[in-house]
Amino acid sequence: MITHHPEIELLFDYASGALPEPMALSIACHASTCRHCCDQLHKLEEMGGALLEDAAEGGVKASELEAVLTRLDDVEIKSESLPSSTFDEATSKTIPKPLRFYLPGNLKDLKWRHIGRKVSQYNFDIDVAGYKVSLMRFKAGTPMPIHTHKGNEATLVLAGGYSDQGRHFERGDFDAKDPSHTHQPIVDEGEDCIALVVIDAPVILAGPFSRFLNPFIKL
Amino acid sequence: MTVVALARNASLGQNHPLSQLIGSTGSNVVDLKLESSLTNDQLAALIDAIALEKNRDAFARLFEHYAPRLKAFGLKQGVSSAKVEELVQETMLMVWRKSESFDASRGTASNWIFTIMRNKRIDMFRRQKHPEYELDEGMDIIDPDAGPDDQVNAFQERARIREAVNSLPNAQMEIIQKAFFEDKPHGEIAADLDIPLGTVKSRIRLAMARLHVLVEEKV
Repeated sequence: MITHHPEIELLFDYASGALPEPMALSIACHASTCRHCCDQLHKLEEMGGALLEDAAEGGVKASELEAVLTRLDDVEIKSESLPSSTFDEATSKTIPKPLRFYLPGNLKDLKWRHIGRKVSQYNFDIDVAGYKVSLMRFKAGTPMPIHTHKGNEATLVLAGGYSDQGRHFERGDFDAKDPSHTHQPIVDEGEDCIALVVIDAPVILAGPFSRFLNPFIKL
Repeated sequence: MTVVALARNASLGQNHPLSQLIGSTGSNVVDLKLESSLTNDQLAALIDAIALEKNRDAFARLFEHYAPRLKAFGLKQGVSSAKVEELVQETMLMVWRKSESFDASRGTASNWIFTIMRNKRIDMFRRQKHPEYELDEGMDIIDPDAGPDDQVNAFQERARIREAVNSLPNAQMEIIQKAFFEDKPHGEIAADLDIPLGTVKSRIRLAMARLHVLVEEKV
């Protein structure tokens, strides 16, 4: 059962469109498995609908409608949907739909980068400056390395689970950490833990003023 | 002559369920009194007509309702007047193509079209995707604390959200407008208004709670 949800302000930023793609992806993945947040998002997006409905009317020329009408029968070039049958059962059971568009193949065939014997990582090819999006896989029953973060870290558990500072996270749980956290999560026994991890690394300036500027830089 | 009249292709019979909405066949006079008073149900019916029978008259009617609003909304968001026509066209084209995915139990027509425009704008001007979510019933981790009853209530709620949004206190409305019109994440809104982050968070929470109460009161 999901017990850890994204903060309302993150859902709000998703709804308004202010979140960068990597964070929006993480929120969309959580919402596709969480009825509660799905409902919250519907409501927040309804705010946008209300603002649209009330927008003062801008003049639209008849030619603009005609222009769209002539394009209605154009064939859509790119297909936005990807049949889930292209993935094996283990993959489609683990990976929420919004993330499947970014996945080049089945989990077992991905180019996992091994970090020691107990951790492996797959980096998604999402080109948004300042962000890193990856799948992390941790071996069951092991402590993860003690670490801090340079930036914010948003973790969405996709399989297995872990405990961190007295809190337990499992499939569907959303775990946001800022740079003040130093932690050592311990992975549950029985099943490897797979998580979608989004990190926003702050820009580190090397110039002569970096010492003064860095505290004010936020991505 | 109105844009609808221009678009009419004389295919609709007198008894067609939409003839009330989009005027009777053969007449050049369109009942524009309906213009400003289309209800949520009528707007949803127009989208359904596109989904079910690729009805161009319904599309033209929907265009007439939304294009001026989308344009005004885009201009408020700072889209240049040169680009805003393209944004409106691309949005309405997606409305035509994705009409099958409209689900009236999930939200109003305006909510749905707002999200299409939001995603299009991010695609056009930020060159990023805005991953979409949809509750995946097939995933085995559905949050159990909301049942089908809640969904029905949620549906009844939504028709009133617009009214409720308009009656929010200024301090809350200000944050919503900054988010949806100026595309700012909550952190930037706090900096802009020179208020603590916590205040932005609590105003978002208050707005959500207030929407809930205002909507409940009117049931």
